[in-house]
Formats: sequence, C-alpha cells, structure tokens
Amino acid sequence: MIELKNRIQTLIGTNDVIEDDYSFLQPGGNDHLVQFLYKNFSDEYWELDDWNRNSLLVIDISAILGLNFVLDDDAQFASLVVKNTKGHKLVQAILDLRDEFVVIAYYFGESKTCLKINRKFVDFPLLCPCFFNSNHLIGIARDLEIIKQVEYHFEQPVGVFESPIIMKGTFSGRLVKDIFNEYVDKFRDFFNIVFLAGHLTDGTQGTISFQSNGTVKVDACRLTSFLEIVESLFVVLKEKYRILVSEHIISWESLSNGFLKKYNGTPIEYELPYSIDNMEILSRSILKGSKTMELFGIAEKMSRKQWSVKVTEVKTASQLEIELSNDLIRVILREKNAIPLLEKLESYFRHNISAQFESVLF
Amino acid sequence: MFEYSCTSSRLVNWILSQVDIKHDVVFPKQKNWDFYLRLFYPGDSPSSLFLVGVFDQRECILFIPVNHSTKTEHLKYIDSHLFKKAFRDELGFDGSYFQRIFITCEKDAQEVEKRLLGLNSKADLLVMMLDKLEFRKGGFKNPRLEYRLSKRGFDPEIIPRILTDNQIGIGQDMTKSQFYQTLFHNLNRIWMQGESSVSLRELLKQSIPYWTQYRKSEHKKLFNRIKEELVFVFHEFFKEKLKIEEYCKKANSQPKTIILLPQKPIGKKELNQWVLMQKQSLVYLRDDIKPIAFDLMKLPSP
Repeated sequence: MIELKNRIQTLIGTNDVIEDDYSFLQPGGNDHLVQFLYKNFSDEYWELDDWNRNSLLVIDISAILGLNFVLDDDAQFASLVVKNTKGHKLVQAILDLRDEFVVIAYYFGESKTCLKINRKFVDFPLLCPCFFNSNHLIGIARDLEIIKQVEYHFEQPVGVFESPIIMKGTFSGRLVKDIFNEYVDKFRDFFNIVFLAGHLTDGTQGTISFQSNGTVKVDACRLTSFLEIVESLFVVLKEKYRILVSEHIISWESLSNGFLKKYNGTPIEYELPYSIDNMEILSRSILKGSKTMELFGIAEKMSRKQWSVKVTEVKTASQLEIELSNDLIRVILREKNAIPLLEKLESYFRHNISAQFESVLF
Repeated sequence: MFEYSCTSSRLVNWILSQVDIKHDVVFPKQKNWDFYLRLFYPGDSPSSLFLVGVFDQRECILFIPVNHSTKTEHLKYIDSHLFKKAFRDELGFDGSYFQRIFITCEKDAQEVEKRLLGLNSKADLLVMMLDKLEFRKGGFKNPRLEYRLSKRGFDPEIIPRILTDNQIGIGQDMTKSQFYQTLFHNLNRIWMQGESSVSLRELLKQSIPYWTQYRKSEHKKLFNRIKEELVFVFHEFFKEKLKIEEYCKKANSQPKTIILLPQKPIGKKELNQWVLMQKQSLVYLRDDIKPIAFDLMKLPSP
C-alpha cells in the first residue's frame, strides 16, 4: 500500500513527509470512498500483457462509462481528473490496477459525486463489486475504537425451513459494541452484517463505514490508518479469488491424444449448521433470484437426498450448477467469469440460508 | 433387505470425488495423487466401460465399474496381463505397485463376485452400499488407503455429479433427464449470449466430456437418437420456437445439424415460458421414452 499512498499523495496530497502521519485524508473535500472490484475480464483481455490490458480497460471505461481516466506511464494506476466550478483541477478517482484479481477504486471529494461515479462502476460488466461477508466485518469491528452502527439482515424463506428464522434490524448508540459481541457469540449463523460504521483508533473521530457490497466510506481519517484497514480487506479478497481460480474452477483436459480425460478443480462445498427442510422450495427460491441476481434455469431431483439446480444469469449469461442436500450445498464453477455470479449467490445464501455461507474459509 | 443399486457414473463420480484437495478423502491431491478417466471396450464388447486410473509416483490403481450385465469374457479380458500392460503403457506408469479393482453396487455384487471367482481372478472387488464402501474381495495393497476408506464418512446419495452417465438403463430414467438438464443448461447460455444457432454436435461435446472418445461410426448412432428426441420435444413443447435444421455452408458441402434459436428474450414472461417448455420436455423425456443407451457406443480398445 505504500506505493499507492505515494501515488495518492503525488497526485492529490501534500508532499510534506513529516506531516504525513498527522494529516487527514481530505485532498478534495471531506468524503472518501473505496470500492473493491473484481476483474471480470474476457479472454481477449487476458491474452494481452499488463500494459495493453490496462490501456484497453481505460479505453473501455471511457467508451462505455464516459469517464476519461488517464493511465500512468507504468500502467499500474489510472486517475480521473476533473475541473471544479472555479476551474481548479481536482483528482476525482484513482484506480489501483496492480493486482491480478482486484481493482481498488478510490474516490475523493463530495460524497454525492463519489457515489455517482461508483454506481457506474458497479454496473460495469468488466469490473464487478466484491462482497464482504460477516466474518470480514467482524474482523474489522475488532479494529474499531467505537462501533457506531450495525445493520443486519437475515430472513429464511417460508417453506424451506419448518421454523424460519428472521433476524434483521439496526442498532446504534452507546451499547452497540456489547450487543454486537453478544450477537457474534450467540447468533453467528443468523447474524448477517450488511453495514458497519465506527471510529478508527487514530484519534481523528471521523466515521468509517463498510457495506457488504464491497464499499468503504470515510469522512475524515489519516491516510495511513485508512490504507491499513483497506489493505486488510484487500488481502482477504485477493486470497479468496486466488483460491477460487486455482482450486475451484472445474475444467476438463485431454491427455494422450484425447483418450484420457481429467479435470482440474474441485466443487465448492458449504456445510450447513442446520438442515434444510424442503429442498424443492429452496430450488424454486434460487431460480427466482433477487433484484441484483436475475436468474433462470431448471431444477431436477437427482436422488432422494439431492436436487440439482442449474442457473444462468440473464444479464451476463454466466452459469453455475448447484447441488442441494439437507446439510450440504455444493456449487460447481466451470468458468472464471462466473465468479461474480457466485459472489451474488453466496450473498443471497447469507441473507437466506446461513450467515456463515462462505466459499473460502480463512 | 434392500440392496443398494446405482449407475456406473455414480461409482465413477465417487472415485473422482476421492481424488481431491480436501483432507478427508482417500486419495488426497496434497499427497500427489491424481487421476485420469477414459472409456474403453473390453475385447469385442459392444458396450463401453469407464476406467479411472488413480496414481501417485509409486502406485497406480485402475478402477473399473462393472455391473451384472458385464459379461464373464469381458471380465476375463480386464483381468488379463494384456489389459494391465496396455493401460500401464498408456499412462506411462513405471512404479512398483499396480492394482486392478472392480467396483460395483451392492445389488450386483454377488453376481460379479461369482463370475470373478469362476475366473480365479486376482483382481479386487469394491462394493458400494447405502452406508459404506467395502471390499468384497481383496483390499487396497496400501494400508493407508484402507485406513482412509474406513474413516471416510459416506453417503452415495450426495456424491457430486461431475459426470453424466454412459450407461443409462431401464428404470434409471432419472439420470436421463439429468443428461437433458445439462444439455438445456448449455443451450441456455448460448441463447443468452444472443446466438441465433448452434451446431448440435458442438452442444453434445459441451454436455458429454468424453464425447470425443467415441468412435465416429458410433457418434452417428447416439447423435441421431438425441436428434430424434429433440425434434420431437421442440415440436411438442417448444411450439417450434426451437428448430433443428440441416445446414449446408455451400451447395456441395456436408450438411451440418444445427439448432435454430429464437431471439434473446426481452422480458420475464418470455423467460418463464422458455423455462416451462424445458420443464415439460424433461418430464416427457424422464417418463415417456426409452432411455438413451450410451453404452452402445464403441471405443478403440487399448
């Protein structure tokens, strides 16, 4: 992150090194936003070297989103500079493109503008939002001096479970940390955190907030502590994608003139903390999808204890195969480009089946 | 007492699920175990069999799923030195431990065991039951594998379905609708990508991983069978929204069978209709017609 920090300071901040750790990150206003995005590139992209790939991305961002990012000479970062009403140049956003899987988008300036640009990226098919699960956010909460607000949302579908559990709400105020810890201890399987806000321990008293759709927002904060917390999330996410890509994509290969076949990868298995009572209703419920995950497909009963649901996402044509049994859900991932759909599906399961639903456990 | 019965593909899927990065499997990849899969024809058999070779640097185990319909002479062929040598050479395996294991389900175990005894076969026999896998004859040469097998929790009903069946028999029509579920799933992707047509052969390649292992002449048999069924369901349930046509790129070129797809859907209603048509087709294919006999296909013998 040091390189990124230097890059940010070169572009927008003070060059006074001594002041660095005492200065707040407020180069273009008081609001800062970070969005983690998964590189959902097509094969044509991956055939290119880093420089050409990032150049092509910047061209596509300009053509599709109308945002004129400029790529740095080393093609590792891209920045968006705009003119304000007084005609001054302001750095609006920086994209950190260095990682193989994750792009970190930093937005500076007014909250409204940051969110507006971010919305464009979230809908951009080449960069899909990463998701934080409850365990990521529980880890982050330990680093916060004060937890200000927590939102949680969990609702088991009627019919899938004989006694569906609903646990949703918001808490804020003086006792948040105590309640939060109690919920983590007692209701971890149902405590699906979708929003967390609090103060960092750097004495700035700025509010930092995290949304489960991969967004981190801060109003005032030391650049160092902000980047530290961003890095901790970044490390977890990139490890998750590395494991998904290297261990869980099932692809067949031929050996010995096509006579021998083998496949690489292994299905992703999620062991459930309690049993599903009706798999047929769950199959139907998955096929219905959600607002962010429009799906269609077919469910078939495979055996007395297993259902197979094969889904296609309408927007992207990405596909997943899901095998449901009472205590185990298995997902067969056959292409890298279905990872964003897998993330949406996991998020759906965290909201509806178990808050602990995670493909890669750390 | 109820005797457990299953298809060859379930036996294969169990073996494949045991060569994995997970720690609680019989052949952990971390210990350098790997596998390969192929179809083969034992001797002059018109029926193909699966073969799964599982190996590390020192040891190679050939699993051959068989059932009551596997003829004695074919078991004899698999039991022969010739068979052993052919696959040893194909894999390029020069380690010291080489083992052949027939694997079958509980229902067929007695019959297979009787035939193997009649042959004085040295091969081992592993049997899948409802609650465990057990050697009916012999055992793993490597005691570690024996130990892992005994410790592994087992439920044949939830084995991952990486592979569809090549031997779909009478009374097992559920597996047939699984094959068509996979085929429709692949068709769905092509449709959503906005393609207006797809070659049926290409679609079958995507749906059957070992498609290329069939002999050319046998492709035709299977191809025509599936085509015939699809023509019917497209007409009956898809109301001609999907069509199968013969397409010639040039006047004198070989015709290619293609599926013509309707335009990409614009609304939820069209999607729901499409899914309904697929469901109706699957119900029909599951219940109303005889199963596809993939096992009629021939493969070159080693």
